[in-house]
Amino acid sequence: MIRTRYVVALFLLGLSSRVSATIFPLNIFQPYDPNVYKPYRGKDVTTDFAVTPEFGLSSHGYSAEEFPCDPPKKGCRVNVLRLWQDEQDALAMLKGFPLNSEIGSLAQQINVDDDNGVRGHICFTGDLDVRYNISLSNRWYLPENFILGFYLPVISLKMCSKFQDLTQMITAEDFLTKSLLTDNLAANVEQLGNGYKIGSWERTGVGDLSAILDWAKVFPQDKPFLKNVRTRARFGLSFPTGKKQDVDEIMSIPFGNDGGLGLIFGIGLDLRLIPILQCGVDVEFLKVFSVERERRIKTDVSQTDLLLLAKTCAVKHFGFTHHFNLYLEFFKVMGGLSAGITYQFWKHEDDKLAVVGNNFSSDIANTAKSLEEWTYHNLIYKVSYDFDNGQGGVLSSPYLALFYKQPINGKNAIVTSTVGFIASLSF
Amino acid sequence: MTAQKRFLSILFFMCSFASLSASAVVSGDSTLPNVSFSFPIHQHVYDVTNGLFFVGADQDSTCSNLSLAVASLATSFQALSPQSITVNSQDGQPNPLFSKKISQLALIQNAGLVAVTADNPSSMSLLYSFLEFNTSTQIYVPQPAQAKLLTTTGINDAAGNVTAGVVGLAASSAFAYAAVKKNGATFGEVGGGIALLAVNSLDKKNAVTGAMGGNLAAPLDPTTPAVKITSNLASITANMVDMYYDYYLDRLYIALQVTANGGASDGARAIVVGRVAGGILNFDAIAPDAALTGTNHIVGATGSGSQIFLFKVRTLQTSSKLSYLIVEGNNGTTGGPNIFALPLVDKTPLNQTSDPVHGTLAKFDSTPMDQYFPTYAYPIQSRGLTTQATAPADLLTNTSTQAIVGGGPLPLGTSQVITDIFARNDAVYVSIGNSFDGTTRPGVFYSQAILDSLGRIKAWTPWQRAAGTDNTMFGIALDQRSGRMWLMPGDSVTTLTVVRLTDWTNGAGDGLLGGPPTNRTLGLVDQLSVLLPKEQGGIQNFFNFSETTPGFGTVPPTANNQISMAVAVGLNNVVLCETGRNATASQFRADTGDFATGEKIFTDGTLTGFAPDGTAKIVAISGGVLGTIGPLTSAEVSRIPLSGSTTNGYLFVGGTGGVAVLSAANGAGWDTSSPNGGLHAGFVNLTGTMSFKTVGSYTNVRKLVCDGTYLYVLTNTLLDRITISSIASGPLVTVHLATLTQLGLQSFSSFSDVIVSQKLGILATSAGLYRVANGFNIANPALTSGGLGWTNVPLPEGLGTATRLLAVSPTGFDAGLAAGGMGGMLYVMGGAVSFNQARVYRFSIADVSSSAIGDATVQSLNDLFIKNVPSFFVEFGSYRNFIATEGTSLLNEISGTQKNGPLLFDFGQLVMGNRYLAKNGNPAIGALPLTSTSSVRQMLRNSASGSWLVGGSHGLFVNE
Repeated sequence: MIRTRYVVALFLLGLSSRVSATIFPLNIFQPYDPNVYKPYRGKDVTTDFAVTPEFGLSSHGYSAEEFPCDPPKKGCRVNVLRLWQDEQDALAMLKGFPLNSEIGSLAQQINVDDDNGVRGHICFTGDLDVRYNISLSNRWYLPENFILGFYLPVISLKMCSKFQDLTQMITAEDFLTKSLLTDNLAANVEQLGNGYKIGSWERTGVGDLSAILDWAKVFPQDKPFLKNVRTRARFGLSFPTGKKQDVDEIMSIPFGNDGGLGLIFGIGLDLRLIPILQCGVDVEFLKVFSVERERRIKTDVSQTDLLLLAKTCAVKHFGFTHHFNLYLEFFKVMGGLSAGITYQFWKHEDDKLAVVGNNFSSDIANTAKSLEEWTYHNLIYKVSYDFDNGQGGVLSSPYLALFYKQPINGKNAIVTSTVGFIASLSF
Repeated sequence: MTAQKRFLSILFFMCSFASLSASAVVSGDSTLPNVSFSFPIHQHVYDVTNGLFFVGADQDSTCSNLSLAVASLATSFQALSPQSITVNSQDGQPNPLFSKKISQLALIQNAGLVAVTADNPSSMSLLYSFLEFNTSTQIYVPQPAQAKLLTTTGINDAAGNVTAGVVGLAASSAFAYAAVKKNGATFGEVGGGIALLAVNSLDKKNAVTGAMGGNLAAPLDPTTPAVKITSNLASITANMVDMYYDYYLDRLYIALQVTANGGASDGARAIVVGRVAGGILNFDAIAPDAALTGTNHIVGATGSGSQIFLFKVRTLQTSSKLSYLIVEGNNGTTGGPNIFALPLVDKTPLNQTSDPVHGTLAKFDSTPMDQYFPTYAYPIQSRGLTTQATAPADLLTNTSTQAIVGGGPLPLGTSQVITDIFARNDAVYVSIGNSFDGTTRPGVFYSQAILDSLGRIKAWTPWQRAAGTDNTMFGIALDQRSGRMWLMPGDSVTTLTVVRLTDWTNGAGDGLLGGPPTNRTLGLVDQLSVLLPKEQGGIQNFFNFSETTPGFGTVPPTANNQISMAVAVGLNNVVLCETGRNATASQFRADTGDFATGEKIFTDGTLTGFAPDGTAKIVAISGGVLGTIGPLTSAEVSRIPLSGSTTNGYLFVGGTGGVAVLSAANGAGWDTSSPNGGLHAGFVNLTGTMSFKTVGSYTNVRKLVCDGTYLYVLTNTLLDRITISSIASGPLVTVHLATLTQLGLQSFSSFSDVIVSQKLGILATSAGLYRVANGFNIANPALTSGGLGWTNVPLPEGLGTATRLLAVSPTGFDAGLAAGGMGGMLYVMGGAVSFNQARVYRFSIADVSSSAIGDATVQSLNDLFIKNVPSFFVEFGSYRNFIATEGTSLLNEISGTQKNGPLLFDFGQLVMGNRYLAKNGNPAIGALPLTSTSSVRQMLRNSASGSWLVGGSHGLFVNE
């Protein structure tokens, strides 16, 4: 039996080949998110296997609060490719390069009269399709209430990118900008940007593998409005097995921590108030260690984040990430049927870049909007049925849940409303 | 003057230049429109540092507390002479200046004013304590309520008797210098002199012994050694004296009108240098006797009965930090129209400023000496010519190109004199108060110094109009932070009641380019905004063609023979604007007010049906060939002088889609026959058979230049030369003068500007500055494509780019850059959008009209910041699109960006050694209320009126 479980586990792990966007502001589930596996251990169960496919319905972005919305408000809802700027600046794109370089010379030729706020401005429109995000988990119940879990996501995303050149055709500089740059923007950007593509992309693969040791213990209570208390704590590592950000794709999304080793720590508290009503809170922290790799950086403060031609080696110091869940659930109100709602909040603090070498300025690179703090807020509606009746004997104690995730706000983040289910087997 | 006479005078004044009153009137006490004061004013001084304009009343009794008044850019006139004031530390005393005519007035920098009243000419008052330092603006602002007064009476002459009156006044931070008449007599005879008063107490010193309270003027008369050569002077013209104190050199300059005695070796000096040492006022000779042996040295002469009449004296320190004496006058008695500049010894680099030679005339061709701070990195501290002129050959003469400000006399009769003058940095401004006649042209004129590679003045630009006015003018000043001018127009020096201040505006209804006050839509500004609307990019470039442009009418005595023109270009559209004409014979004046009447608009690229009757001031042409060019960027006229029975007058335009020429069906241009041909007022000689026709096959044209024989076409990647005569005759004779490949530049490199003068061509490129190589000639008829050599001109401490070229030419045209005898001077701006930087470099250009181009043809000026490191002139700290200069300041512009609308800045100090300009050194002129999408183009002067014009997507912006 144990051998069979190992085979199943390995099979599930083998299926996985890609990440979740932990370090990127996209609100798809992490595979170790408490919302995506069976929350309670069944009687005599030694291991759980769970598969949680999540399918995106529609995506959009929430801009930063200082984004020039009309009327101004915190976190405007924007298209995903206008997350950081409403318009991209193809003229600013050429700035910051040596004057004797191809880019510097082109800038000089076009920009003799500089950017007038319209010339060279590009309006991008993107459609991000979260085709699926499958979280795979295998949790082993160890003595003393410890649980060792392995988690791996498999993700498939597709970005459809379109753009419109806003340059007018009324001045000589307009005509020059069009003829030399924006009439053939994609090819020019790819050539000048050393392979940078601003067109559509799609990518599928595994994310970062996580290994987390949980501890959870239930403390029964004999009070009118508190039947038991469960405390939880966890500690784990996220290994950089996932696809990294592709610096040659527009708004590329890494499937994990972008090559960084992650340190995860979380605690939780669940309260069963009455037999059919429980609530709880879960707080988690993620520290991703710095990674040096080739990245696209700003070479001028006026540049916009989607049109960056400079690709250079830089160390990224990731900001601290923390999130919490707050839930209320009607627990097994009819057999194994439960229904609940969870409020989820994510926050990632500013990232910093340290450019390797002296060719570019770290100070300028760090003015990128994409490095700034991001947040998002979700509501997760879940209906589940646990075939484990607490008596044991139910074949593999299956657990099924349907969920709908509704993003409700954010800042500097792409959010997707998703639906999915959780299928778990326990042995 | 009775009130009735004054009222009539005011009415007459208002009527006489109602059409030229664009600048705003600075309010005083007058309730009449367009009048500042209800009483006459005259004396005035301007505090350059703090931007304060002081005026003194010219009439007793009615001026009350405004007998002294001050105004700034931010305030109207404020009274400085209340009836009761603290006098000599006694509060609440009667104010001796209250309601008095001010006969003399002088400024003490950042401290106060000294004044003499007409009713008590032997007394002096010092007004102080009314200036308060504003830490945010870093300038002093007036606080009239805090004013206090020191006053003294009984100033003595050089004989120890109370003077008959003060006839000249100047002040330093330590002393007031008063030119005093002899008791019962005049200044200029024995007994007259210069009284010395300490400004902290108004103590009347013994200027001969230095004793406090001695009250004795230093004698300045025909026997004074500093003015005489060999024998005592025959005379000093009575009471004719002008004094100027140079704070930097710490010297007093006194201009006199002198006549030498009758001996052959007798001579005279008309400039005296005052120097205080140990409390004694010493008079030093401006140049030694041995140097003044002729009769052409401007400030002195030797010869029986030699006369030198100087009327005004000033000094300036050039942008290259060299000091010059500026005088109005000449050898002889009729030098009023002549302004000269003579180099002064500056021994600051030797720390010998107490040397009597300091401040006297320098050997004009000596090499400047630099002084550096003694600590690393040894930045420059001072520069000066330290060698005194000791021989005649060391001095410039009244025929020396270096000395003749304006390159010649002012438009002024020989018996007339200017009414005001100021000299600052590289420019001299004068005002003329005489009315139009055959020679005289009233208004404000300026000339800009042209520097050689060592920073010395080698020539001057021709006199050009400034301030947008041709009113008779009696007082002028220029605000160095904004480029706005203070003006004192009037009918005569005794009836001045108005102070005006020019402004940067759209000119709406200003009576000048902004249209009549009653209907601004008739003005040039509004007409251009309709013809070249903002939605189509507005004015995409603007060009000025003065009345002296070759190919224009050249007969001033024939009314309406002359024209000056501006050409505005835009999207598929060109607008010809007449800016001036000689509607009255021999009186060339700026057009003002109504530009719309007679306006002609053509939309098919032709002038079909155009039958000029002389009334049109605007001719707009669009469509046809112009419709295929798209945005127009350039305009040029053929500049072929009148001759024979020719028809060589062409207008060329260029833009994104190519080049076009305005010509008749047979290829002929307008009539350029001599002597009566040329383009005339109302665009007479353009004909209804003319239309625009494509010339060659070009794209992305950036500039067109004509030298009278060839049309030079600069695109972003090519410089071509087209023989103008072949345009009519065909086939087109074209020579490729420069390509990217020929210059060895990589792809994406580009050309941005070009200047052609004589044999010389200078090319601004994204990879730096290039000139025609040694021995080559850009105008050589035998040149073939690719046959012209080019040489890179290093831009010291440069960014590697050259984006704009600005010629300062002795002829007033770019084409004169390498001509005029001494050549010109070139400002090169290297802007780098990649790094948001812009630097300005300066070069001295030699005259190559009769010599071959060589290594010395283009020489970098000795601008530097650090010892032995040649460098740029200035770095703006951020990108700039254009620069412009008239000598006192360096105006610089940037188009609208993502964050700001377009900005216009004024580097008003215009002196080397600043390196990077701080915010206060290059303040933004906050008068372009435009959006971030607005572009501005090269600013320029309207040659007819002297207005500054800034074209752009917004239309036209003016300072007048």
